[in-house]
Amino acid sequence: MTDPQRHIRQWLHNRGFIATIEPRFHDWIVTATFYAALHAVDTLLAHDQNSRVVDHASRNDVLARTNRYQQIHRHYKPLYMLAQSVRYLAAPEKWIPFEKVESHVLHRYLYPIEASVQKLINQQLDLPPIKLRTA
Amino acid sequence: MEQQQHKSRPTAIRADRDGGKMFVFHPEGDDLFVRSGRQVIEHCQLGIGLEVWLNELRDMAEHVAAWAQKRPAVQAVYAAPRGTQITLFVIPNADQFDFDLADEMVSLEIELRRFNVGLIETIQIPPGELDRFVDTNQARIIHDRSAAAHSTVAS
Repeated sequence: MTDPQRHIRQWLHNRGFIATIEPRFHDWIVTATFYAALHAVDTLLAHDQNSRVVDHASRNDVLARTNRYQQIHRHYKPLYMLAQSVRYLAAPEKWIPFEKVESHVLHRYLYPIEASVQKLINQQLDLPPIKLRTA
Repeated sequence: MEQQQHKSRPTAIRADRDGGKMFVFHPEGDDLFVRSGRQVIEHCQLGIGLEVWLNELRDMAEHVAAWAQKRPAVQAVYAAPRGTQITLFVIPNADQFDFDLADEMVSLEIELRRFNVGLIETIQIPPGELDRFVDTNQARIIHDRSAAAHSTVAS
């Protein structure tokens, strides 16, 4: 079982990266945001000593089937969907315009996931709002 | 060869008594199959299991088609196997990722857990990009608003 602290480090690491990405690469902001969310989720799973999760499918399944994780699942799954699609597209800027990244990807998905995880692990982290770079 | 109608009682194969007994089957042609009683029983169980699974799959597809039909934001839904799971590719009418539709897809996934067909995943993809995500020869149309005025469920 992975130490939750290792996932917290990677969660914060990915968060820091998001703020450095230029707006013209905002499809990568989506991807980095997803991996910040993934490590937030894995922090919780490690905290709960859940060892069944070995890949995206098993993680999604555990989130969907566990009452304790329902709130997270509601925000994590659409972010997973978006990240899955955006990284394979030839014109990702059309699929997810930069203007929607802060309001939807961060505020609608990442921040609620982070809030739920902190509540469930009973630990408040220093997670200021991410300030995206501007063009 | 003229087929004979056997009016005698069928031969019973019981797992406890005949599980280890060997049976020889002569299909038409030159093949010859030798199977134990246990294997014969397992083949029958597999056939029933497959039939049940296909029925569940059809019911699931009908549920998804009805779900899509009720949502004007959905242009089409395709189903395809991906790894060990079934993936439903939902194509919105808009060229942009539809965040509200994504929320509804999460609810749909939860509803679909009652169908006993294994893991099901939904993913939203842009119009015209299906072949970026799946072998289109393997994909089945569940719903297509643009192709027809009515939904189609492919078996």
